[in-house]
Amino acid sequence: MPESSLESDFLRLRESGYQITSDPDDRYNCVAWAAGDQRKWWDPSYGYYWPVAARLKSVEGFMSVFRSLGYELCESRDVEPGFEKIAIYANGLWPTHVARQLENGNWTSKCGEEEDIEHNLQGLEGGDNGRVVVVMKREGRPDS
Amino acid sequence: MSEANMATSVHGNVRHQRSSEQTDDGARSDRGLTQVSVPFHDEARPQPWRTGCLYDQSPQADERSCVYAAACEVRRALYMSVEEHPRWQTDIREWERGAQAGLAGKTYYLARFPTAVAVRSQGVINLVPDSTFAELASTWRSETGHLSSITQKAIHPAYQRIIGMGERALPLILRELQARRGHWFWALHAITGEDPVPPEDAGDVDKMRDAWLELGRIRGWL
Repeated sequence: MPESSLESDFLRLRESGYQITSDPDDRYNCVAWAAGDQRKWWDPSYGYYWPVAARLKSVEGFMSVFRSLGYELCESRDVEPGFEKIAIYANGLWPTHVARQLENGNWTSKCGEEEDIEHNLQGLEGGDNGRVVVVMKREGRPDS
Repeated sequence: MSEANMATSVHGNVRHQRSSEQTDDGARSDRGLTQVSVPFHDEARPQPWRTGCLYDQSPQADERSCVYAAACEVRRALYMSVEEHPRWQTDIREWERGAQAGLAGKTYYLARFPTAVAVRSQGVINLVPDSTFAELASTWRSETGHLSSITQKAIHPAYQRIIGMGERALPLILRELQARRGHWFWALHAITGEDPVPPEDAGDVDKMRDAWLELGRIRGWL
């Protein structure tokens, strides 16, 4: 497994296992990647792309984005055939990261301006990211 | 009042000095902190943020100090009482409630007050020498590259210190943007008050970068 600066940013990553699946890229972030967009940086801050009118920097604000894409709250983090899932991480009240589930049950994440990785949810918990607070799902699994 | 005028007012009325004296609030100003004296027209009003705030640019900066300093500057810049700004008053009260309840840290509260952050940043203009830009930019890149949130990136102390350099930082930021890319758009907007990016290009980092570099050439910053 390749060593990465991500291991110093996310201390549980090495132990939990992960795989780098892209080069670093500052053109898109985790929210965009979870939504299937590699062309824009999605952020509620002024000047960035945000698909809903209310630019709320809260978990609810992030949930509203994924509701607009057809996702609904769900309880289980496990793979459900026919459903695509995303997980929202938060540090306190602050949403920090979004990951998208792959068909094999692992999760894929864009780590800021760094690489895309395949990982499990615990691997990106802790530190700045906080922990997973919400899982949402929608029917269908677009090509990815 | 325009942002430019507001910034001028801040610069014209807020005194920055290194100090080891006791502040009006009784807070101690240690080495590395900057005392900011804010003369209000209603100094008799018993409000906790009325004077004597401290800036602590370290990562361990006390959140109360940061936000109160920002509150002082905004208020002084506008030269009005908090009561005449219901929105600002509400924000401060919300911050107070949250801080007392221990709901969240500095990151959350500074993010809740983008105006305060911007004005606070303007307020520390000229405290950062040009020679430190490269070091600050390097620190910021290495410590925030893994972050997805633009707000988290922007409230990093190194990024804030760069914003605090004011217009002197513009050529440095634009050259950095040209050479190494990076999300410098918050800083550029905070310093200039301008936004050359068309709404349809929001979030398109390549186009945002091109728009700012073009504006930089037009304005003579680059």
